[in-house]
Amino acid sequence: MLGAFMDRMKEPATAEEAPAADAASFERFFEAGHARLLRALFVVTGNADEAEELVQEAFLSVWERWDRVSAMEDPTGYLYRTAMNAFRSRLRRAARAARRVIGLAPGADAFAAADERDAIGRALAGLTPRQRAALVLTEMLGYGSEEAGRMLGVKAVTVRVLASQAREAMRKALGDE
Amino acid sequence: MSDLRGVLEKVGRRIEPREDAFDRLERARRRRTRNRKITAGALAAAIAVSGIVGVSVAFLGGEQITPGGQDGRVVALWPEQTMAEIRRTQDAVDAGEESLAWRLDLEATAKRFVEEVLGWGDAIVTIQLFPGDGQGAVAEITTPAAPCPTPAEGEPIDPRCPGRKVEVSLVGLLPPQGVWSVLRVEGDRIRFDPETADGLSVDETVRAHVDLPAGAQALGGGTFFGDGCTNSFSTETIAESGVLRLSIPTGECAVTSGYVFAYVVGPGSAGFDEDPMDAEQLYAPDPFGQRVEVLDLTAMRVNLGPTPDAEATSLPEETPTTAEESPPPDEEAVPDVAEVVCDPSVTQYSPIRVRPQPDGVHIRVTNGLDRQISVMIDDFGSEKVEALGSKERVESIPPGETWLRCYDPENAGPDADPAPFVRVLIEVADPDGLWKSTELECASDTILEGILDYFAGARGVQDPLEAARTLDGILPTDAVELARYPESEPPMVRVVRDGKVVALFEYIPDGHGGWLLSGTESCGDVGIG
Repeated sequence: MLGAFMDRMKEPATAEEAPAADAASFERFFEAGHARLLRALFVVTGNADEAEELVQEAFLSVWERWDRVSAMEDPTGYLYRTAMNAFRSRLRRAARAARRVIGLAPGADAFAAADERDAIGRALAGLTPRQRAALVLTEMLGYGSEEAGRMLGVKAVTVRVLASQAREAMRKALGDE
Repeated sequence: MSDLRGVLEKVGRRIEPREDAFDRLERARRRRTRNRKITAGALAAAIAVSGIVGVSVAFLGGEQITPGGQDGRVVALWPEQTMAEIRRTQDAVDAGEESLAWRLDLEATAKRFVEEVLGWGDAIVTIQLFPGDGQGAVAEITTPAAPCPTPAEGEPIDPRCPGRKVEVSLVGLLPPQGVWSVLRVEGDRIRFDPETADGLSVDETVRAHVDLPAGAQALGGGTFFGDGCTNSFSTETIAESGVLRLSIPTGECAVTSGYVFAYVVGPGSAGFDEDPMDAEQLYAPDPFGQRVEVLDLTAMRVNLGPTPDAEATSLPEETPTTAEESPPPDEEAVPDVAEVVCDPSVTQYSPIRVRPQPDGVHIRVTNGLDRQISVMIDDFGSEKVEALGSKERVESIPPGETWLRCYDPENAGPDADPAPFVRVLIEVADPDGLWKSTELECASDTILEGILDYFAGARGVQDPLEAARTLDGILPTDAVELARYPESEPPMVRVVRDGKVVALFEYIPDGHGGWLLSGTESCGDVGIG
């Protein structure tokens, strides 16, 4: 097992080894997809810093595999799967909603701090991270529950349940409009 | 809510991408490619020990091959630090060395670590295993609160009173049945920046942000190894929240790897003024005695230089793979009863996987306390479990994850709900596809709901399916079937039209063996109900 794992670790070529043409195509890929991924992850995490870190982590990972990813049918889908993997890893490693460290004022959940006027923020604050992730993937990004399930590491039915719970909670929090 | 997508897009626009985002990405890439890539998820954990306080003594023990030189880089924190040392231990374990058998036990290794290094003899360990390849886990280790005198008005609570918590990352570096090693320690009050130290070079700095409770102090340090040499450093002590600067040492010793750490000690710790190598002081039985008492610790491994050891490791990365590359989980091994113990002294692995039975998900809860407790399953309510007793609950929990929490009513204050003393994640895997979804799939946003009530003594139907088929609006081509699990009680019936769930009917027992329709939910445009 360790051998297979280490083989995987040796695969990615460093970005410095990629030809200039590949670097240019990656930069175009980045410019085309960066903002949308960042906004989606912001809605999922409720934390601007964390969203930026996850976006950077995902793009770095894709860049190191760009020679293969660029040849895929859906490089953007791969990017989102990578981002969701990173998100899931964070949830597992440190199940802290906020960091009690000084000097990290933006670290608080932006939705948890939503005031009375921000009904949407308060509605999102009432969702769990997984519910938000399922909602963003299906409603905001338009992925089907099968694909969203692969990204979140759960079955499609679980995605539907999570998204349904999220929609219901949002509906109750915001009222029928 | 007519346009949920629009709502979410609007929220997303609250964050603006930085103009220099690509430049920042390039800088991050350059940092990462200074060394051969480990992984984005690498947790380098190092506890710098030598020359500081008994924390160090506990780590290095007595023997040792010097890390960093011909024996390779620092690959773990504790008990061994190089692969050569780990292999030596593994060989001894494989040869049957009884005194080392605990190294094969994940929980025992985690507990021994906090006992020997932090002096926490009453630790509660909760393990979370990483799925996929490799042998990695994170242990959340907490200690119960100590009996504590109420502080005088205006005085802060003694920081030694509340319980403590660290997360310890462990890995088996010689799978499949390798000894466990500590890779990283992450305390509650200390955060490193950067969070991982791959790619740092000599004279760079790791900043330890410390959130100090009143009366406590913090300090940090590091130990680095070169070829046959060692270079250690320690920081100043701080008595208020702030930043400790852990600078990779320069000097005659050309260091290649090592570790950095920062820790918090309780008030009145005498160790700073006395012999820091006197480990006896750490472990005095009186928690409020004059000794060094580690309240929190964060530490990580650092590898410097251009070419890390080929066996330098991390926890397994969850690289996205195609479906063909991902091996399916071993569904046959998933039990059909989840066993949960509500006992803070018992380590439980989380999540607990379970497969449903025809009547639902079985969860057997054992109460390890000598008093009645309350056990809550998210969305399925609480039930009591008698002192030292067991209860098996059957719930229609859908596939996916849900939380189970054990509460001790004696911990409740007059104005507050108690916090759970055990919290376990339950993961329901449904390889046989028993679950029938209860999610409506409506073409429109309109849903009709109905609630039915009855006079006492009302009699229901024996067969809810037959009864549902006679309801208004059901077409001959509709599939009327049991929802949730095949034998879920009370039953729920769903109507499937053109492959979509368009109506749900809930039933309640009539007390005489029959079922009364209690609730309906249907898509507004299907004309059912």
